[in-house]
Amino acid sequence: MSVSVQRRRGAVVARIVGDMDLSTADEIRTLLDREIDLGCRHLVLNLGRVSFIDSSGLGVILGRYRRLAAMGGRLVLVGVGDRLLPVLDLSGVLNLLPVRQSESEVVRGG
Amino acid sequence: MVAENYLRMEMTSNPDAVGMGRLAVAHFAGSLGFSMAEIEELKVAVSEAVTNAVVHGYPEAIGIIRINLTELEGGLSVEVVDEGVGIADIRRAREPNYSQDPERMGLGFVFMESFTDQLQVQSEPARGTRVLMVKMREEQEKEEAQ
Repeated sequence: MSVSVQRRRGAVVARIVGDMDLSTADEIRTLLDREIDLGCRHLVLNLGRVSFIDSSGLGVILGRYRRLAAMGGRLVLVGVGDRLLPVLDLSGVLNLLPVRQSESEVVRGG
Repeated sequence: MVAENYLRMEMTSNPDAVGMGRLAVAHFAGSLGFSMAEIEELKVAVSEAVTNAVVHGYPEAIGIIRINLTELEGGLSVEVVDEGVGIADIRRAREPNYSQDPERMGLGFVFMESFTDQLQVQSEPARGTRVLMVKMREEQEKEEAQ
């Protein structure tokens, strides 16, 4: 698993590659929390190269969403493909978080 | 007599056990002709069962987790067994959002139930937990419905 972070027009774009499960959740959480601690209030999570997600991975997303929402910030998901859709759908996360097609769409218009 | 087709695994309860369980069920189900979509569902179900064993079964120590995969006629069964602290109230534990941890969604059993055809949970405090899931191949279900 790896995460690359890029700052684009006031937003932080985090691209996650690999599995989001119990073995990687802590590392991803720590990295994203560091961005929030540094002042990020608009977080874009690109899941386009996430190969697997379960409730541990969803917990990381939901936890960051709650943190940001409490600060008046926002979290947007990008790259939700067919593989992740059943889990995200069943969890209700898709009703809670905005999902966009591309990073550019989010950073440009939101 | 033809031997039962099965795969037995025993591993320590570290977080990497979750991925190993997934890998095993993906290969086993693939060899039995499950579709890619069904295999993805099985991977989530196994991931949740093993995660529960690691996080809740052995909260303070490393223990043993056993995974038993067995071919059934038209499907497979997955058994995830730990000898950890057990679950005091299984019915409550199976409810969505049962988890007290804000970082956990309490959806483990919801996923296991939704992505398999049958889920049984047996547990005894201080003795451990046994989760049994059965999943049938979709084409098998269609044939039976005809």
